[in-house]
Order: sequence, then C-alpha cells, then structure tokens
Amino acid sequence: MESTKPGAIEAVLRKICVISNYFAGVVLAFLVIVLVADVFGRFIDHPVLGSYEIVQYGFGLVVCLSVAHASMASGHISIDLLFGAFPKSVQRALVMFSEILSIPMFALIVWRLTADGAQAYKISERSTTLGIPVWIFQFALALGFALLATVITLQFIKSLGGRE
Amino acid sequence: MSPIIIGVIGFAILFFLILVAKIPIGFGMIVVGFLGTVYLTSADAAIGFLGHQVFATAANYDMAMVAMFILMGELAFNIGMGEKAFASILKWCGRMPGSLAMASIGASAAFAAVCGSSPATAATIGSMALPEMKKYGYDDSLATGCIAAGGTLGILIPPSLGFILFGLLTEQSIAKLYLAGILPGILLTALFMITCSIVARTKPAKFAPPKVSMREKIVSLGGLLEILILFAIVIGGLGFGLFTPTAAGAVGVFGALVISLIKRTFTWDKLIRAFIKSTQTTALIITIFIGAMIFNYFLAASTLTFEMGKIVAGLPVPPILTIAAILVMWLILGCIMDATGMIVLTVPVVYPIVVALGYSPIWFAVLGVLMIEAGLISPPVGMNVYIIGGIAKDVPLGTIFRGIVPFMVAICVCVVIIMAFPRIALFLPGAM
Repeated sequence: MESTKPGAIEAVLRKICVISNYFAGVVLAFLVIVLVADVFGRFIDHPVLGSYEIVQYGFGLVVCLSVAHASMASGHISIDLLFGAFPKSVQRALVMFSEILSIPMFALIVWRLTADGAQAYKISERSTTLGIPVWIFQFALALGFALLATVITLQFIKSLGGRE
Repeated sequence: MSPIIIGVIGFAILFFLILVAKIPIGFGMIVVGFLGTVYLTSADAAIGFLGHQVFATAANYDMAMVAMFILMGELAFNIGMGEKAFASILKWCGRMPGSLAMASIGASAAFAAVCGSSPATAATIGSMALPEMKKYGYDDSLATGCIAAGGTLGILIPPSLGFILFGLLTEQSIAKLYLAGILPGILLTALFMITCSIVARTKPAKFAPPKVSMREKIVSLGGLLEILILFAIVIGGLGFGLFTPTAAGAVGVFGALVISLIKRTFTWDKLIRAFIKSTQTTALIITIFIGAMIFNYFLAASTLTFEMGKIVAGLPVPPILTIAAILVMWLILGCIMDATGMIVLTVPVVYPIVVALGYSPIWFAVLGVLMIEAGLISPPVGMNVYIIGGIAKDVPLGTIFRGIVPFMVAICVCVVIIMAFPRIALFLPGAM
C-alpha cells in the first residue's frame, strides 16, 4: 500500500502537467496570432491595441503552464560530467541534496509570488493600456511553480525510498 | 569578509553544485544567487527581489521571442524544410570529391537560416545525409564529423538562440546581433566546405553520385526558395526595423505554417508536436534565465564583475590577448557545459571586461557563438556528437570525434579571421 501511493500521486501529477502543457501550447498559439495580427495591422494603421501587454502576460502563462511538465518530461539542464563517475549511493545522496536545496527555494518563490499577487489584488494593480489585472498572472505563476515544487518533492520522496 | 570575496565564494559554490551535485544550472543559480544576496544585503531585500525577478523574467515581452524562434525552428523541422534544401544543394554540388559532405554543410547552413538550434539542425540534416553518404561509401569519420560540425551553423546563422541569450543578457540589439552572424556564418560554411573537400581527397568515397541535368538543378532550387523567402522576411523585416524581434519570431512561425500549407506538408499532429516541444524547451530556458537574473543581481551586489573588469582592463598585456584568453576559457568550458548554461553563467562576468577593453560587444558575441559551436562538438559532452551518434548507431563515438578534428580547425581559422577583420561581423549591423 505504502509503495503504491507515490505511484498513484505521480500518475495524477503527470496528467495535470501534460494537460497544463497543452494549454501552454494553446496560449502560445494565441500569442502568435496576436503578434502576426499586430504586424499586419500596423501596415494598415490598425495595430492590435495592447499587443505588448497581451504577449507579456500571455508569455507568463506559457511559462507557468509548461514549467512543471518540462521538468518531468525532459529534466532541467544539468551537467553529468563528474556526477557519472560517482558510485550509485553517492549519486543518490547528491540528487537528494540537490532536491533538498531546490524544494524550499521554489516554496519561497511560490510564497513571494502569492504575496505579491495578493498585494497587487489589494491595490487593484492593472496594466496601463488594457487594464489587465496583474494579480491573475502572479497567482498563475505561483501555481505553476507550486506544481514544479510538487514534482521535485515527489522525486525526492522516490529517491528517499531508493527508487529511480 | 569583503563583498568581492563573497562573490568568489558564491561562484565556487555554484560550480560545486552544478558540476559535482548535478543540480540543474538554473536551480543552482537561484539558490546561490538568493543566499548570496541575503548575505550581502538583507533577507527582506532578497526575498522581495526573488518574487519580483521571477515574475519580471517570466511575464516579459522580450523573453517571448525565445518561444517564438524555438517554435519557428520546430515547425521548420517538423514540416521537412531541411530535406528539400539538402536535395537541392546535393544536385548543385555535383560529382566533385566530398560533394555529399559539402551538400550536408550547405543544407545545414540553409536550414540554420530558419532554425536557431544547433542540435535540431544536426538531427534534421543527419537523418537524411548520413544514409546517403553510407550508400556512396563515404568514410564514417568524414560523414559523421561534417554533419555534427554543420549542425553548429544553427546558432551562428540567424535566427540563433545563442544570439538571443547574448542579447537578453547584455541588452544588445537582437537585430544587430542577427545581422552580425550572417557574414561569419557564410564564411564558416565556406571553410567547412573546403574542409570537406580536402578530407574527401585523402579519404575518397567509393562511388560518385549520378549526373544531374541543368534542368533538374534549376527545378531543385524550389526547395531552397522557401527557406530564402522565410529568412528574408524574418531577418529583413527585423533588420529594417519593420517589427520587434518577438514579432519577427511570430512572423517566422506564420511563414513556416503558410509554406507547409502550400507544400501540403502540414498535419495537425506535426503542429501540436511543435507547439508542445517549444513550450517545454522555452520553460527550461526561462528557468535558467530566472536563475541567471538572480545570480547576476548577487554578482552585481558583490561588485565582483565590475572589479574584475577594472583589473583585467588595467593588466599590462595587449587587450586582444585578454579576448583570446576568454575565448580559450570558453573553449574549455564548452567541453563540460551546454551552450545555454555557459552563456548565462559567463557572459555577465566577461561582458564588463570586453566593454572596459573598448571592444564591440556585437563582435565579441559573434566570437562567443563560434566558441559555443566548438563546444558543441568537443569531447566529452559535445551535444551534436551524441545526436549524430544516436542516428549513426554503428559508428563509434571515437570515430565521430576523430572526424570532427578538421572542422574544429576550421572554426579556429574562422575565429582568427574574425578577430583580425572585425568588419566581417560588424559590416551588416553598421550598414542597416
């Protein structure tokens, strides 16, 4: 029972990451449309109003929706040169050390993004041209990094149990 | 302890974390940058900065260009633009010694004009050219070496992820950086082709490709035309200031889609695959970039880079020797690090030195990208070599690395020429 729990959680987490990555693709497609419409629009003096802000905040959404899946699917860019020379037990300890450092760091980022989002909500901070509420994107990014922190935590639990 | 010493210690810890503990580069930079900033300023300031910087880097119009150009390259890869370029150049290279290897280099250069990724260029051209070269009895080391080397043109000829990262880190114009890469890209392509021709004379192929009529040659140009049109629209529009770099990337995506629709190579499956892969690659790069921004803040607080710039500029050695020393350092780092990590880790440190010495940052970026190219084919971590190794499974990695040596010499010759004649890199940015 104990050993199946991380597996079940991982399956759910994987599904969430995959679905959110699809949404990231949809948002990216939307940004392409906005940018191209803006380029063509400028030639006929009808640029897309607020295209800069749409792309700016939209790109934040792309990052938050894909960051956890990128970590799960491809793994973050790291260097294998010396690590590969260590015995398996040392490698496992080093991976756990790296995860122990990363988890609180991302938890801190989630907390700060949430706190900044709450502050932006309180003062009704909005973008200058379209009046887009900024807090939505701060909370969204907090959620994306929370998902990433969860992925790393799960990897840590698996390392703790001696599983790859 | 002085802030500079803290900066040095921070660097040492970061190198330990990424080289020994294998912590992802971006994560390592966030951790060390944050803790270093806590030490040098205050916990409150560092925590406040952390949230602000993550949001400012992720929700950023300029950063969106990373996604746009990656997507453009992915689409070009998925709709088979490289295949037609290879077929066309092959017909024009004729039956001279090493013609297939030269065609592979030419096709790599052509594909690089729509794709900013070196491994993607190597994989695209490699999957087509390697079986052809095998068929005509090419030496394994020449066949694999030229494809791995040709792939590196992906980050020199615009659009280029290397130049995007340089530009974002040093606040240099992406348009100027892109234009600066064109002539050195053509020069390196020519040097690679000459290398192929020389090596092929010492290791001749068993068979020559069949003769091709002039009519066939002219018809085949259609395969290059679509790349040329897309390149002209994206880089031309950017160079003439018609749109921003981010919009240029989006126009490139749109153009690639239109071409795939006209050529009937479009499928929903390919489109979805390109979008999903692009968002993932982008997220990985943005995470590294968030780390770079936090680490750079710490470095700035430590005044390490500023002081280093002053010290190096004051050294009683010719400035060009300092540049050469930086390039050698990059060559060595390129052997152990991937291109993105190397750029974000070292550019903030060496950039103030280059500026203090009075050199053009654009020229320096071109030299930097050339060194990254060398790193991509250097043992033991040369990424392109492993990609080619994955395609040519029967060729030992040692043979590929042996085949790369002449192309490494060509890159070094290119670096020396551009150091001696900076106008090769600076002419186009200055003319626009």
